[in-house]
Amino acid sequence: MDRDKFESLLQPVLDVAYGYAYKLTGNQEDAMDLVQEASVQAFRSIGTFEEGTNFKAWFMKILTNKFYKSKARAARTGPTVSLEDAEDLFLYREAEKAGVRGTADEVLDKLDQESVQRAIESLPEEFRVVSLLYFLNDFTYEEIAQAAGIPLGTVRSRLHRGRKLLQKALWEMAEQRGLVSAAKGGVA
Amino acid sequence: MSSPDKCSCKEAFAKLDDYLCRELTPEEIARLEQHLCECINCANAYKFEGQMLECVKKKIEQIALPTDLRERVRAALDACKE
Repeated sequence: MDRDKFESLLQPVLDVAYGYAYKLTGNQEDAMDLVQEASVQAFRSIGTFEEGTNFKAWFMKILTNKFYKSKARAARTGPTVSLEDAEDLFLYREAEKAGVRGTADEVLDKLDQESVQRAIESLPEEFRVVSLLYFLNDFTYEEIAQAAGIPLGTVRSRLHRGRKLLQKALWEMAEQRGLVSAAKGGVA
Repeated sequence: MSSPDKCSCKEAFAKLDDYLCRELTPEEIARLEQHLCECINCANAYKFEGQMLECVKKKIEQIALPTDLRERVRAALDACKE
């Protein structure tokens, strides 16, 4: 594949790749380095890409692998949500206890973009990777499996558990900000 | 007891993730949606979970690509070619 053809595949995925890289590394400089390194790696490995298959998932796999080997990953610290699982439908049940019935928007609309972002960032890495691939790309299980380099069954279980942990983190965020008060019952 | 060809609450609950991720077959979706029409508890839970996912998607929407990144990538590819 020639350079022009490669770029015609690469350029449309750079936006989402950068967003993914930013949320993995937590800062602009590391995210830019990661996208650049993944682009070069992809160009060098283009012979292994099967034309007509999903370039975005293929590229995201390279980017994810680069992240796993990067210093940015090792340097990344920050609070993570407790791995103690939340129950299924955690947010739904907590919202119900707090007297919020019927709509998730009522709780989540009160949380700003940064709070939701921080809740995702608080997920342990294995859950953050699959959750971001799902939320940012709307990938299927198979595409997530390809991009994260894990089996389909692992995608399913990590998405499920990641979603529960995310709900727990979102609820904690809403409580910390005084947006909901389960103890008193009700939405602030 | 529900009939064998009808979806139960337990089955509906087990399929929640696959439904929201659009991983079910049209037949599975039809059975499930039939159940959701008949069971308000499952329907509410499904609606809530779906809204939650959409809301998170909206809130983590794409952040702007730094203006010089495309150029940096092109330059890196040029260097790689040489």
